[in-house]
Amino acid sequence: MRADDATPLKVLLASVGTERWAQEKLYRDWVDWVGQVARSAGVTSSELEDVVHDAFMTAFTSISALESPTALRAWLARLTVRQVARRRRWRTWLTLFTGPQDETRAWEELLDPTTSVEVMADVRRVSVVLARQKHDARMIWVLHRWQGLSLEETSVAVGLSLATVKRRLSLVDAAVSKLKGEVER
Amino acid sequence: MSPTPPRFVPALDAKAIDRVWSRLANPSRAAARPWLWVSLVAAVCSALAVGVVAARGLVAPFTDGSVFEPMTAGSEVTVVASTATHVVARQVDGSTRYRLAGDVARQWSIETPHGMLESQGGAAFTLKVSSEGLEVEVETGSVLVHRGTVSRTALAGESIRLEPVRPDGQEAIRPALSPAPSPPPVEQPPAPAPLVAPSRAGSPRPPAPMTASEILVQAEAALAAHQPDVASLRLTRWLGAAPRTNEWAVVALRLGTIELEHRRSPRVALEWFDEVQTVGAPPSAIEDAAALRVVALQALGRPEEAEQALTVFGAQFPESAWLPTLGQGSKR
Repeated sequence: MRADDATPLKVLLASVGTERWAQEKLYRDWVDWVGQVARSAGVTSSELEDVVHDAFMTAFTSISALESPTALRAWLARLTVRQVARRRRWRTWLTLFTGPQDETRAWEELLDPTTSVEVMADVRRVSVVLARQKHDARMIWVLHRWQGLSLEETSVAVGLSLATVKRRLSLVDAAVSKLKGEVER
Repeated sequence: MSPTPPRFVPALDAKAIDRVWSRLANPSRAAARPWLWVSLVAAVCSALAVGVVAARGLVAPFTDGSVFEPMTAGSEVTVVASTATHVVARQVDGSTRYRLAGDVARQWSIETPHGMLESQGGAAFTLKVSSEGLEVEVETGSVLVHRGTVSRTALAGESIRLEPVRPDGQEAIRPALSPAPSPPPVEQPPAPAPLVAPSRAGSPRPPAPMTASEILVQAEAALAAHQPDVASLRLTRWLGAAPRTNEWAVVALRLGTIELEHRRSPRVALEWFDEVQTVGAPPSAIEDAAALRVVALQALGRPEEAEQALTVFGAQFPESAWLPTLGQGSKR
C-alpha cells in the first residue's frame, strides 16, 4: 500500500492508533523515507535508528493530528525533523567537549554505489557549500532539491512559512550556483 | 554540476529496519533504552563539568590582550589599509564578499555587491558584521581592523575573524589571528600572553583541572585550527596552575616549541626551555629542551651564547641525534 493509494491509506491510518498490523504496514512503507529525511537533517549513523524509532513512535500516538492522508509524507518529515532538532540541541552541548561534527558527510555516505564519479564529486562540492549554510537553510535545500519535497511539503517539514522557505532556498541556490560557475570556469 | 539530484541508498538496511520495528513493537524495551540513561547521566555530568570549567575561567572569552568590545550582528568595523594591499573581506554566512585593492598612498577601490567604490589614498572602509561574523583576509600588505578603541593588525597571509556576540550575551568577540605561513612578519607579533611564572620556591599550586595529556590534546587542536595564540594561552594557564612534575616539564617543552615555531617568539621559548631544565624532567625532555635552547638563541641573534650552549650540549649529550642538525639552526 503506498501513499497515493488514497482509500486504503485512509483505512490504514484510521487503524494505526490501535492496530499493530497497521502500524507495521505504515512503518515498513515509510521507514526509508523517514530515514532519508533524518539523514538530510544531519543525523549521524549512530543516531539514525533512535531517530527513526522516535519519529514512528510519535506518529503512532499522534496519528489523529494528521489532517489528510495526502499530507502524510510531509507530516512524517515534520515529526522526523522535530526529533532531529531535539537531538541537535543535545549535540550542541556535547560539542563543548567533542568539537563540531561534520554533518555533511551523511550525504556522501548515502550515495548509491553506482553513482558516477562526476555526481559524487558534485555532491562533495555542494556539501562543502552546504556546510557553510545555517542548519535550517541547509535542511530546506536538501529536502527540496535532493529529496524531492515540494516547497509546501518542505515548509510543513521544517515548520517555517512558505515565504521563509523560499527566501532561504534562494540564498543556498545562489551559493550553489556560484560554485557551479566557478567549476565551469 | 549535475542537473539531476543524486540517487541515495536506503538510510537503514534490512536488519536495522527489523531491529527498529522490534523496538517499536515492544514499547517496554524502548523505555529501557540504554541511551536514555546514558543521556541522563551525561547531562548531569556535563552540567557539573560546565560549572567547574566556567568557574575556573576556562570558557571565559578568549583574551589575548586585544579583545574587541562585544558586538552584535549589524555592528560596524573599519578596515584601514596600512600598506599597499589586497584584502578580501567576507561575511562568514557567505552573503557578501568585498574585495579591496589599491595603494594606500594613492587610490583604493572596493568591489561590493552594489558595484565598485573608489576612494583616495589612506582610505578606510566600514563594513557591517553579519550574524555569522566577518572575516578579513590579507593577501598582500597589511590592514588595521578597528572596532571602538581596539585595533588588530593583520599581515599578508593572515586573517582576522570577528564573531558577533551570541544573543545571550555570554560570548565576546574573538578575533582569531591566524599566523602567516611564510616569512616572519615585519612587525612584532602580538605581545605574548604574560607568562605565569611558576613558583620556584615551590609551594605547590592547586591541582590543574585537566591532565597534561588533555591540555596537550587541546593545544594540538588549536594548532590544527591555526590558532597558536589559543594553544599558547591554554598551555600557559595550565602550567601556571599545575604542580611542577615530569608532566609539567613535557607541557612546558611543548609550549616552548610552539612559541619558537608557531608564534616566532624565541625569547619566550627560551624562558620555557630554561624552565624545563630546572625541574626534574625526563631525560629526553631535558635533551630536547637543551637542543631547542640552542635553536632559540640562534633565532634571537645571539650566536656566541648559542655556540656556547651547543658546546655544553655536545658534551652533555655526545650521542644526541640533534647534533648533526643544530649547526643549521633547527632540527625540525
